[in-house]
Amino acid sequence: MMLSDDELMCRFQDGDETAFRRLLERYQDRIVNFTMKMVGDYDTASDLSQEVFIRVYTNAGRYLPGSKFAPWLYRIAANLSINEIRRRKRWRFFSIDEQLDEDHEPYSIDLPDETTPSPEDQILKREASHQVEAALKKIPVKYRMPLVLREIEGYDYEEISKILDVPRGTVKSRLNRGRALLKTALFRLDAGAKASAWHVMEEQ
Amino acid sequence: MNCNRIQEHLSAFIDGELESSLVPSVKAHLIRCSVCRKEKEQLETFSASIRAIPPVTAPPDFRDRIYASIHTRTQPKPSPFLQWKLILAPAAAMIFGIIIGAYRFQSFAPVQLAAESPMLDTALPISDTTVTESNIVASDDGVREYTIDRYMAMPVETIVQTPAPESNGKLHPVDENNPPNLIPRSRVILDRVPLKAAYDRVVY
Repeated sequence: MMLSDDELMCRFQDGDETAFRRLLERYQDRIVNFTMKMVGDYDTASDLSQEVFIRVYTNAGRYLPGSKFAPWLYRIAANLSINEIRRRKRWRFFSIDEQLDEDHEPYSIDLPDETTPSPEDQILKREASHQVEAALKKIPVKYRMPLVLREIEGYDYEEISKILDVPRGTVKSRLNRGRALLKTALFRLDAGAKASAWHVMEEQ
Repeated sequence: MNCNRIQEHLSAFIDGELESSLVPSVKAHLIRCSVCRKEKEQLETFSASIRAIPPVTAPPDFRDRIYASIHTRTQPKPSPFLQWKLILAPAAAMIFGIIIGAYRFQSFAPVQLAAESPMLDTALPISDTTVTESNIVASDDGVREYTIDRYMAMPVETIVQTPAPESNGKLHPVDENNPPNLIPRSRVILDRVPLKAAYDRVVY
């Protein structure tokens, strides 16, 4: 029988260690993927994700039975990611790439012209993914986070508002703004066309 | 609604999160406006391209590292009492050392004074020395015994000291012609006995 996250969490609160292990197995890849999209490097994402589950383990008593586990888990991950990004900004270690903000033009990166024929579809696809990822990194974290939660994790606005502890209207406006910034960043990276090309290819 | 207003709602529209009261007017606008329709298609393309970023997974040792870290953090910490003991033990040792040092310093005090005390008759054999209260000095090696000393009318630097001889209640003369060592002390230890035994010998 497949136990729900909430049931597993309740069992863990009652001292069942295997319940924690099952939650860990269920969410470890998703949390590493999420933190990776937030902080941009795998080692840090892996360390942060580790800390997320340690917090779940040590703060299990704070989980309210009957509430949704995943938003609680993602909220921990989001907070740790934000702390990490702030720490990096303080020490100016974050990235050699400048982040795109509302009043700032991003760097322009020379990419192959959109009309350049690609020898392999896979290469084009991979490159498009890299460009989208690069563009995503340029978006300020307050817009990037709801975008990742929506597009990659598939949460609805209500769940995102719980994870980020902001009103639903704020989620809506941040997603709107985030998408506009992503579009700008992609075009600045000259990769928008590539993403489109890849998408057309996928549909075929 | 004009195009600007419609485009503000497109993000929520493609997510299926737009207020139901606004959906019909957005749909109607998209049918007749190719610019907004293109904008919507572009947003959908970018969303798809974010979702297409290849996910990363947790490293193979992810769970082991978490459990190792949990194990380390949940090790029972020393009790507050033990922690205080760990702090206080060196402090107590230091205080004890200071007390012992002061005690030793004090035990030297009569020695220093001895150089200035009235000269004793050094011509007398040590065994004939009359024991007075001034000859009784607290032992300086921490033993709860007292030495019966004879102050020597000699410069401090050249005074002879013998090791405290074992006593059977008798005075042990010091061989002044063959001193066992030379240290800058100003007394000769004649005997080493408990205080009461020392006072028993005092000639008043």
